[in-house]
Amino acid sequence: MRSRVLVTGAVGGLGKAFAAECAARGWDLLVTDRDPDRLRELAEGLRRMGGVEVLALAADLACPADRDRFWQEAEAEGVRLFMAINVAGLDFEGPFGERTCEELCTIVRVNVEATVAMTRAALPFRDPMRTFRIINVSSLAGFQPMPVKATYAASKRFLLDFSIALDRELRGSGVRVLALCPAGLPSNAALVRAIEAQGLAGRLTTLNVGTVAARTLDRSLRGKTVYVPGLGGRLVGYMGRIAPPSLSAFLVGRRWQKARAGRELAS
Amino acid sequence: MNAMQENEINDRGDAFRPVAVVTGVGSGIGLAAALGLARAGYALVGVVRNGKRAEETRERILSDVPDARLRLVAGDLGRQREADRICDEILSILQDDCGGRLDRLLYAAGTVTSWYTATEDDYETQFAVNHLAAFRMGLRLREALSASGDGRLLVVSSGSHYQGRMRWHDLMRRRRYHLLAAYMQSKLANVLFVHGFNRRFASDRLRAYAVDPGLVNTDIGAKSTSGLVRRLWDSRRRKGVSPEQGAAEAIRICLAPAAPTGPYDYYKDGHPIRPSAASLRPDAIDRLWTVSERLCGLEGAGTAPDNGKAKRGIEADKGIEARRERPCEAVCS
Repeated sequence: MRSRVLVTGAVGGLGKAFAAECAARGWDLLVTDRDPDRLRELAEGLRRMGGVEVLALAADLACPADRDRFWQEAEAEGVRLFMAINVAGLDFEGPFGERTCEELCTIVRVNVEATVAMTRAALPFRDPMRTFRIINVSSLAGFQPMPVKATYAASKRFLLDFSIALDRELRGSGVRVLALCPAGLPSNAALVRAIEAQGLAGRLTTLNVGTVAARTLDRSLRGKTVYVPGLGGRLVGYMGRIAPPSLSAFLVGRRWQKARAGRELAS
Repeated sequence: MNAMQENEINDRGDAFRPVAVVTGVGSGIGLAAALGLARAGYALVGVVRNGKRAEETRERILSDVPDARLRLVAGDLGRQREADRICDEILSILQDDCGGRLDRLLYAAGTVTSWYTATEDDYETQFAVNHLAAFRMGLRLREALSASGDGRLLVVSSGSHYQGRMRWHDLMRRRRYHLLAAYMQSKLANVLFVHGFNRRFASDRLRAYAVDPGLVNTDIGAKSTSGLVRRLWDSRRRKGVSPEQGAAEAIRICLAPAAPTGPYDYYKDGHPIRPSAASLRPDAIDRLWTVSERLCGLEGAGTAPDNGKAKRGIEADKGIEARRERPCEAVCS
């Protein structure tokens, strides 16, 4: 049995790009997402495109029981992994006071809890003959505190620090971890509109999702720890790292207020 | 509009209404062509993106041609499962209403996307909508077209295919995406498909054509694109001809009393003209055919090109190839 690549959140734009890139490289896949129907559709396309073996197991990763069931099924299939790409993540846009408790906790459950749990649970499935590579999808939002996206940005910050620390800790045992920190990716019509709304800045930090997936895999194979795609992204990331958090928060908050005022004027 | 007319595209009263399937009938060239064919007395099966579009399109066509016979099928052609269902629905309509016969298939659906986006099957959107769905429909409706006795398959290609290149190692252009390069490749794929189709199936009862509408003023460049592309397209489309003029060539080929048989299968402004050299390469034609079969899950649907019916356009261009093929044909027959 050949070892494969796990892709979570495979039905989303970035997940699809990772899955297609892996298939194009001839890597067998284990894909998961919530919607079993769309997952089947995806798996069929990947098989046709890459001629690779694709195992699709639907699971809601926010739910511990579902995660357990997922790994049991994977074990029953005799899965071996040499790479795990944790793409699953979400955000509910809007000010803190306008979001419900449930929504806010779901952000933490999916982005933080599910990623930690999946990373831990994947370790016993690693192919002992190969370096085990983990890719966690953090975000450019992880470099600074962000008013209006407080929960999301903090959850991505968690993933960034978690990945860097884990990479150092597990390096000796043949496990490498990379944190991918992309800006907004135009992978569906709603996101294209959101990037449009940011104007020129949005367009300059915007990258083709397929290119990002391919380059991320290259970086991971080369043993990098953090990958911020694009020149604009790298600049923002660098500034986020040297500026005091309170200053970043102030600047980001002001930008949101301006955007908000603009929108209210327009409506 | 009585129920009879709405639900049956060919009742017994007028058994000789020819039948056409038109995709992308919601706007642009597809709509203009559908109107032209409806005026000429064709019964139509139109394919539109969604139910809302279907209602608008029905009103639009019936307000122009009140006695039009029209059935509409809604669905996303980019999605393999949907495209397959659309073919099933069309085939069942043809079976119920006109004995499984189809006279014209006009593939006019097309899209442009600014950034790399993937369909539910993880296929690049332009490649899936502009080429793969045309390929699938061509193959799935081929029997019905043959049953017509004078079946014609038309695919709306574009002059931009001359600049098109097939990037075989990354057909979906995932790694380096540029909207124009991806669009031109999909339009080159249209021409390659037409050549492949004719190499395999062309006969005096069935033939495929690629149609070059010229630069046409439609909203194709303003659907899923960024503001910059939309502005560029807005300024460029004004130089284009109207959709009616863009559809004229397709309508002409559909309505021609005898199936046009030029030296090439690529038509513009009433004449067959030479398509790009890349579109005439037999290896590229067969390679795309094989890949498309696999991506559509239609393996074995006319894999071996029938050299006996090899397309004249290709023979004319590849004289040596043709001479090599002929003795082979003699041996085979």
